[in-house]
Amino acid sequence: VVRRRALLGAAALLAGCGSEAAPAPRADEQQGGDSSLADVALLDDALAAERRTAGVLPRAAAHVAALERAIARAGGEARPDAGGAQAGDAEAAAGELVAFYVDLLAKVADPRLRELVAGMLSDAATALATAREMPAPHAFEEGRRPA
Amino acid sequence: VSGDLPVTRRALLAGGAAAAGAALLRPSPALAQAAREAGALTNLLRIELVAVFAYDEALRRLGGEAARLARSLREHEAAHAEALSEALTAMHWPLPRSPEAVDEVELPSVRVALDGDDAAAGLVEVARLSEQAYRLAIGRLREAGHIQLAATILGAEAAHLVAWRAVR
Repeated sequence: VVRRRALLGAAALLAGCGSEAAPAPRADEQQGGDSSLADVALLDDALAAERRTAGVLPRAAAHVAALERAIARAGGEARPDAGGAQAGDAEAAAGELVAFYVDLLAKVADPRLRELVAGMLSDAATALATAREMPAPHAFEEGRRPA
Repeated sequence: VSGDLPVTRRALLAGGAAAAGAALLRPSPALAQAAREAGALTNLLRIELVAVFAYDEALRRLGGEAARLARSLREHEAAHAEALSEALTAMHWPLPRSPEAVDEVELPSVRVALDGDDAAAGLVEVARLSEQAYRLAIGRLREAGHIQLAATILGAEAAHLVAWRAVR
């Protein structure tokens, strides 16, 4: 109920994002306590997601650099860019990132990495609102429809 | 020397009693974690209650498009406050009270902005502080459900900033 209400409150962002974020077991619980290894894998996923938005979202390059640094600090090695499909438009890319980060945040074990990812979620939400030209109340009202 | 023994024994007994008392008073790690979790949620709820109050205050002076936006966003803030209240209630944790006057607003920069000429300035400041608070809280929270709750609200607060930037 709490999550549903929160989603309603944040509906302007999450409408259409497909953010049916089921609470997942924390990464450290999932991986038998090896949280840093699990976190690196999650950051690597985030890195791939951010790379797909390069040239589409304004903060993508900064996020990619920050994620590469965080992976290195955690003792991991960032996977090379595998290429693949680039995001088409800013609204869809930002929407996917918001949903992705909401899910990811519940799995990252290291509090500092969670703060880092939270900043990226905030940037993605900002990009989504900007792309949707959200200032008019209408946009928010429209966003209140169940996703 | 013989007279020292009873004193030492008393001291030992007193020390032992104090240690036992401290052990009894010291919360278990699980309780301490629950208290930290509830504390982080309580801080977020305090900000949301300030936000709802700030919107109510600003709406007395706003008009036109800004007022329409403020009414819409006030409902978002109220939904956030309700969701956080539910989470705290589920933890059997007491809820903070809402401010009822500007001088009861715990955030000085918001208090100053609400007293100023620009009615929307306090709302922008609340959204800015909220965005920061949620980012920090996400680092501190442990429960997946609470982290996701904070994450969705963080997204909304970031969007509020965009909306106010465009309207003002």
